[in-house]
Amino acid sequence: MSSRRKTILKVIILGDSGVGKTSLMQQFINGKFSQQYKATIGADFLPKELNIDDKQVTMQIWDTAGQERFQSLGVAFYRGSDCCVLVFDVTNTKSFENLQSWRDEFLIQANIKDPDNFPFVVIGNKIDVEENKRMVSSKKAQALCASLGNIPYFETSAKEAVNVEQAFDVVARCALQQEESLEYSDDYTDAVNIHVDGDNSSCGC
Amino acid sequence: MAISFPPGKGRVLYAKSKVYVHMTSSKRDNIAGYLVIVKPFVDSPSTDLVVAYIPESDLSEDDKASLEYFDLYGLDGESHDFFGSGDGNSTSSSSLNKPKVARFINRPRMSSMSSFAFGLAISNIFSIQVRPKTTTLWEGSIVLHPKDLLEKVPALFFHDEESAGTKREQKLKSRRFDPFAENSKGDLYWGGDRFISCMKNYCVLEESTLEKGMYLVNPSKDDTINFIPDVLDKPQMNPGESVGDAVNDFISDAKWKMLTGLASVTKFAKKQFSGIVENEAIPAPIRQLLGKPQVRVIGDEFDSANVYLAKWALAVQEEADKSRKQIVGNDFYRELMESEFGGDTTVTLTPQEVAHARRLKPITEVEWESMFDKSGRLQITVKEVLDRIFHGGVEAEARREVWLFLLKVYPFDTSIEEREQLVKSLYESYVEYKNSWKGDLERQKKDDYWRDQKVRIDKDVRRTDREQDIYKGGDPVNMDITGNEDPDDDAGFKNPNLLVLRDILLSYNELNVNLGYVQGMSDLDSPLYYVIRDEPLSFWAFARFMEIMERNFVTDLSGMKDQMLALTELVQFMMPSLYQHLDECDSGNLFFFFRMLLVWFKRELTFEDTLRLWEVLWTDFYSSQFVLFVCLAILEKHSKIIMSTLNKFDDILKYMNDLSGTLEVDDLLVRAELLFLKFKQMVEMIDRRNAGIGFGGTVSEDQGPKRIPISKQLRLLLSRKTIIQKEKPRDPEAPFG
Repeated sequence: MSSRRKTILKVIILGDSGVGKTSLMQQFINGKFSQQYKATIGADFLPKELNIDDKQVTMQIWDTAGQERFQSLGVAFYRGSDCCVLVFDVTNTKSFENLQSWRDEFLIQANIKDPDNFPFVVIGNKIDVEENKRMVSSKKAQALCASLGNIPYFETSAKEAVNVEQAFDVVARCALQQEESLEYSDDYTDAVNIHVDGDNSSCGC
Repeated sequence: MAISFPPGKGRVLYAKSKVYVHMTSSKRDNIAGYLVIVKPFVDSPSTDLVVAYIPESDLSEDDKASLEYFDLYGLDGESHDFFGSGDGNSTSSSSLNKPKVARFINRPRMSSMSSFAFGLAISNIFSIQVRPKTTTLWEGSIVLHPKDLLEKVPALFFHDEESAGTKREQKLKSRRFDPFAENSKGDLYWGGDRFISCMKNYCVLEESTLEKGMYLVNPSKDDTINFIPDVLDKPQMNPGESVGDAVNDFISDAKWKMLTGLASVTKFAKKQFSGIVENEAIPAPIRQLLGKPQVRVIGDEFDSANVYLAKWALAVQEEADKSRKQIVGNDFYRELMESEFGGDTTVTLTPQEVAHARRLKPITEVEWESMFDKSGRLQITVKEVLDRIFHGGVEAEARREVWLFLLKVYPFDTSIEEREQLVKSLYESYVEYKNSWKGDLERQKKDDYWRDQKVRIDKDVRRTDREQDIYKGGDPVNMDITGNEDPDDDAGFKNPNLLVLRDILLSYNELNVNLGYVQGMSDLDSPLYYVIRDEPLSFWAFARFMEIMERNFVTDLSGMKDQMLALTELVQFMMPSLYQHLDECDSGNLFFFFRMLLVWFKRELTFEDTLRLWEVLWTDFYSSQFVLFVCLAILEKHSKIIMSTLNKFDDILKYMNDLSGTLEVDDLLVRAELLFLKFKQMVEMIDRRNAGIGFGGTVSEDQGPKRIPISKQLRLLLSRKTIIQKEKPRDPEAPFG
């Protein structure tokens, strides 16, 4: 019988308003793209069962509101995060420029003990647009990610389901590594939660 | 033993006197009768036994005498001890609660057109919902749920203090230690206990571990797995295995079992409820709930399972509530007040108050027009108008006019002529605001802040209420907006109504330069234009609405924090044990109300219900912050489920977020109104107490009862005056809006 207690990986998605956070989450979890999303207010999350190297985990993806004003709410739900996904829109320079402030804000609000080793993943979304509309080049984005401590970088289209699966696979691995690195002395359920597998990480963060 | 039955008669196996159907809120309308279990024929199998309710007025003299006797002595005998004669466990269960005397009555009717009599064969009963008597709920009740989902029978209330039989049982019981398992929990003994014990002689009765007080009658194996997941998996103790090991195994298995059980519930949901989703007779919110894919599909993850469990429990509770509501009307709410809000009997609402707190029909155009004289002046008082709107809302046909008054675009004390003048000047000044951005091409090119605002608005308008007919079509939600578009180039928007929304928001950005546009405002704008359908007037209505709502959108979120704090105090004041539970689950900040408060339930209610809620809230009839009582009503409605099944921040947030689409506005408004009235009375009572009135004169500091402080926030909830909070002047250097 498989391990009865499942690992929960908590992942927060941040980024400017309208970059496609909800769409990415929906594409990953439900495999569909809708034209009917509303601007997110407050925070909500969706769970997804994943199998990473034969280990069953539940990824809990938290979707957030993009307007800066609502950042201070983060305190209420960033706590206990295992990975943070920073999203920008490749057609919107400003959303790219704001990545760093999203990251800094997250580290403060989530009260991360060891900021240097906390896993982030950057996603440049909307690569389905025509080339002439694209404002942020891959090179530029990769350079920023390298400078922020070799953050893994993905380019996706939530609309056309390009690279979304791959990006979240790395998100999950990063989160799992983070989760397992934390000393866990939880409750009685830990008695049946024996992590037999040693190094199963293939995450580049 | 073979007892031959008299012709036409059945044998009484159980009878309880003074069981009532509550018809209305008035005690005079209660119907007294007997709850009986009758064996109709000498050779009837136990599945054919009839559980019946017979009003006293339906009984013949003979039957009445039989039942009166059986009620007193039928199960215990004239000189017998309560619950048999055994000492503890050795009681022979076969004689427990079996009749000690033979009494016969006419075979009960299964239904009646002329009275509230009904009967159900045991084989036709799916479950029995038991609500025991508690210290606050003085009359325990049971509801029989027939297998036929369309059949409903009224709740039966046990008036123990009137029932000679129950009083005798209580007397016998108090004489000796009670070996009876169900009552060893220390619950109050009440009439329904005996009914359940008796039923157990004739059918298998399993209490659902998912919904306390819900007993399944002769459950099939599937039902058992579905409702009582623990039963099948009880730890089997092997000989030689120590108790400690078994307990450990049990605990480590607990979560697993819960999951197994819940997975089966989904099967149940599919099997049993697939028809319900389309069944018109089932209350809409339950159908919606059950129809939701996330309710039907359940992972085996514990967390989501917990949320699922809570939702399922709600569906069961709502169904029970609904059937009670249909039968007892506002009495249902009265009982709710008494049972849910503590046993503080010094605060009770008068029947008039409870009766007043009912929903009326919405105001029609004809009714609205009848409130005005020929010159278009109001001929009743403003208070009367607001009272009427508060309690009924407005029909769609009359909404446009009513909203313009409610939002003070039209003052109430004007004539038609004056309003026509007013409209002219409102048009003119709107054009000024609109031109100030539309005509300023310089700024459109160079002002980063402005362009930023425009991008936000363009993005959000495209994803606002696109399912509503007037906003459907024309523009893709995800059109890429870079801020470089020419705002005069309306080709950017193909749907003219979206364009109007955009223009109103951009013009508001001129009117209130400090606040500008903040996410959520498009949600507030869209219903106004939907109803008013006139750009300048919608703009002014929106501006007026924003005066009320500005506090929700200020940069430091202080207005939202103030409201959340007031709500926190209100919950502590009105539902202390629920608050304690929430606090223990890291949810004491009530964060899950953020979205509901920010845009006044726009995302939780249907579009139509949102319109209803808003027009009610705009009346400020009781309080300018009545929306907090609507929040309170949601908590109150869900408190039992939250307390019994949800114990983590994540779970509670998920549960509350997922209420979206299941809330019924009229139900919430009645609850909210009753809660407000209760709150007001409590404050008044405390004020009187603090002032020493009613406590024999002055209260000295060290002697008298301690003064209970009412915080400023709480007292402010009694005020009808709008709370205005303005955004601070904008720092042109600040990068963010």
